[in-house]
Amino acid sequence: MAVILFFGRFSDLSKRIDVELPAYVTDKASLTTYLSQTVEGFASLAALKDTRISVNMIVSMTETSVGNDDEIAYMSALSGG
Amino acid sequence: MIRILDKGFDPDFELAEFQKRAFGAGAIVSFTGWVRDDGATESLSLSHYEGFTETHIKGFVECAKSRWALQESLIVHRVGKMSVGTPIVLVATASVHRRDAFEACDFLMDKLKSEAPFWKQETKSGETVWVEPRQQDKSDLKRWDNARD
Repeated sequence: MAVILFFGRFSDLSKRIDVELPAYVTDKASLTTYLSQTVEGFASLAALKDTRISVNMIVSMTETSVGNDDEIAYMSALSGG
Repeated sequence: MIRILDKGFDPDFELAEFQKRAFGAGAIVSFTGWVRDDGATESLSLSHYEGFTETHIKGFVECAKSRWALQESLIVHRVGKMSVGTPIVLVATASVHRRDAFEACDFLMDKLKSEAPFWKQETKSGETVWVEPRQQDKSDLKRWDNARD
């Protein structure tokens, strides 16, 4: 079961989703597509340029694989402290 | 030391404890940020990503230590809902000489303001909105790009 966490503006949609990922979801891009289809309002936030995605608390600019053992977080632009 | 708290803290107490830990330092500098009264703000609410946020802040401290001769540092940061006049953040640095403590404290605040994984909501006149990153904070952080390497 993958854990998907939402921060900032994403948390207006949901705080956390625990989900068995469909077979076609294998990386950040396909996960984003999946969430865009299943969570209303997600697609427009995911498209914003300051959106960050972490996989197991690591943010990478390159494509990263995801699976059912992973914790993935979607973060909108940081407000700072 | 880094502490993220979901309830209020007393900056004077925290600073007194820090001074004990930094005993013998020639210079201690601190900055406290408060929820300001702009006549409209009713409350401020900060959220963070537990574990992830702390790791990022540790990175800021490591960076500061690599640039300045710090003996000790302290970052206390609030999350949760806060009203006007509540302390949000305390940064303290200790060093042998003042310049290292001054600059490291300033640097750490700039990093916290621009790069720390916090998300902020303001409630004004009954309306709650997300706070966007400020260009001024990004400009402040850029001051350190070419400073003293």
